[in-house]
Amino acid sequence: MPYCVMCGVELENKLKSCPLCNTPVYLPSEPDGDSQKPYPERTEKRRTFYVNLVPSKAFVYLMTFVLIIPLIVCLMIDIRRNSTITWSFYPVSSIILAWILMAYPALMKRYSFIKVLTIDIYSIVLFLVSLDAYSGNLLNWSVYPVASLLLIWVYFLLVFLLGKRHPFVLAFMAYISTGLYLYLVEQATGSAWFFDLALPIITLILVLTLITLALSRFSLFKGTALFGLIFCSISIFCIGTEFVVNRFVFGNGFSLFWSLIVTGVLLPAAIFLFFVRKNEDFRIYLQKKFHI
Amino acid sequence: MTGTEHRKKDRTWYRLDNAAILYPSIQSDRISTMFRLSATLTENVDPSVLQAALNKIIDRFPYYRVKLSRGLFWYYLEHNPKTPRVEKDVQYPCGRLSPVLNRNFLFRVRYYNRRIAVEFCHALTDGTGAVTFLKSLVYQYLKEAGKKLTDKTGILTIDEEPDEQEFEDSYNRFYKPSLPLPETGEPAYHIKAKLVRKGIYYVITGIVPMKDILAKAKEFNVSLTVFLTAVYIDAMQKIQNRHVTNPRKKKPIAVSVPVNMRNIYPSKTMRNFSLFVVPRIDPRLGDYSFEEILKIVHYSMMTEINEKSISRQLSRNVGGQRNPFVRIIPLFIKRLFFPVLYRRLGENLFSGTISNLGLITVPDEMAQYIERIDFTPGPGPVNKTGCSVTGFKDKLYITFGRLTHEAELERIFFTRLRKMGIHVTIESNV
Repeated sequence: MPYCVMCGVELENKLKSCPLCNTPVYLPSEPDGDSQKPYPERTEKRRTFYVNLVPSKAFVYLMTFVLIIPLIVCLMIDIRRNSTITWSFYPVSSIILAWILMAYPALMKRYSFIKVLTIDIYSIVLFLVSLDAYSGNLLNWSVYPVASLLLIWVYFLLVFLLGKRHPFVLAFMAYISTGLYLYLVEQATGSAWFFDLALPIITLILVLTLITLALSRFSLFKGTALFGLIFCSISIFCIGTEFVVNRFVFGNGFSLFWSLIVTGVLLPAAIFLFFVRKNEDFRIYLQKKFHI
Repeated sequence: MTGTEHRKKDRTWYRLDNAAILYPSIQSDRISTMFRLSATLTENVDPSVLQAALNKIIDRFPYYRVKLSRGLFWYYLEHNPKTPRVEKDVQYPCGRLSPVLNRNFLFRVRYYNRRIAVEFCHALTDGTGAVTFLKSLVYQYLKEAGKKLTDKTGILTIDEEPDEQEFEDSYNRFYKPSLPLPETGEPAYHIKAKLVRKGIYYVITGIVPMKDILAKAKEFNVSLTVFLTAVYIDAMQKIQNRHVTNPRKKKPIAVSVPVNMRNIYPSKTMRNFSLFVVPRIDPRLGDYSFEEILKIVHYSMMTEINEKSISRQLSRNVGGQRNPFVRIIPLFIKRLFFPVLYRRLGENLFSGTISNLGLITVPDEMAQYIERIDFTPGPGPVNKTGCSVTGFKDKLYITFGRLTHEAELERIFFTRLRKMGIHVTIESNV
């Protein structure tokens, strides 16, 4: 059994250095390799992300009874008066929605964030569609909130499924779904701005995102220089957006104004960051003078 | 040395350690923040040989080959490409550093007849660091002077590379967050006397046979540090009794005793790593006999010098340095507050300091060329008098430095020892 030369504590055979003071262990002869460690080695487990936005079961029971009273009262009044369901559809469906949003995760065995989100979004979608349908015409105004909710759900689903592993695929899929959403909205409103305005801007965003992602793997753009890269992308995005907007609104895309101000601020800042990254002397000078 | 190596060295810089952050801001003609260690050899010192030795060992101590620079938020130390020069000793030691005369270094090496002295700014290191440097310097000097030395136990020599651990700020390593604040006592009694002209610093050394004073301490069943601290407090009590007659106007007498934290934590650092314990008596409660003082000092040291109580002090200091609001304040504003902080948490709380470096040991074949090793405290305008103690071979060297004309404390202190039958030899620079 070795001893720590600094602390004087006796150390277990397998330890390479003293756990108290980090002094390396000096062993004249290697101990036998068969001896067992007193504790198993720690293995990192991949943990799934669970959110606890879940009320306790008791709370769900309580709320069920609290909600059931207005529900019955509404139905009774409506049916006694009109001998069928008329206005009570709205409070009753709202109460049912509220109950689902609250109670569903509590009744599920394993509720991951994405499961709860899916259930919630789809119940709200169903609620909106049924409201719209009840007032006479299927998918009239409800198209907009439903499409937006679905888009949000798709974003979360993409991040959940692809995560950090496939950033390029993620960007591309998000691009397609956003494009579809905007196209749908355009069609629903019956105006024409998708191909001239929306598509060029989101394509620009996609291209810049892909380029930034690709370039960020080079060592020049590591660390704070990554912000320089992002600054460059933002500058280009601003110029591109102003160009597209100007062409759409005024018909002339080249009279740029505000995007040049953004570029004039961000581009020198980006070049400064690249310079700091490249020039070690300068970097050390900055560290010295500004360490806090 | 190749060009790239040169460039790399010029770029190295260090943050100040936790104890050091105050010192650059409080430096003045009165508080020079310098202390001194000196070794007296058996032969006269040859300055050119000493310079050669210094040139060789300075690269063994890269953390001392630095100059002080200002950043936006903190001071920092950076590599000083110049070479330190040895200089002739002066009458009043521990004077303020002159950046020009001293080539921006934060220490100086002085020689006089048979004596080699190093004076360090406290921003650089504490007594333990300085004594290690002095030992290495003397070792190298003796080698350069043609002495045959083979045993280098306990000495950092130029044959080895500086250890990574010697650079570290150990306060930060052993910092524990969210400990309760230590109790800070009320302001202590200070000697009331006119200060001498700036630049003057009187030093008195009492040389005491080690075996006599150890026997005396043993008679009371206490350690040497406890014994000396008790004599110091007793002397302060007598001074207060003489100058303050109204018992309600008396103040507590507290003496700060620096503790070498390397004995408590496993650290090899060559930068500051010491804190202090403060044994105190309250004369408003009546006169204390020497035995009572001994008891109080003995037990307060016993209870306070341990990892747990001392880590409260450590955590308060490091916590203050780590506080984001403190860090973000620009240096020129910090500079305004640091002297206040130093007085509030430092000098105001004690009546004096007694710093015991303990018995300094060198290998026997080196010891035959060294006669004595002295430790001089730095000047402080609030306490006015400080005391440092070293033991070397069979003698104890008790050195007082003072900023007043009257050596009242020293007199009471040493006569007390004499009355106990301990032989004392006195030296001074007056």
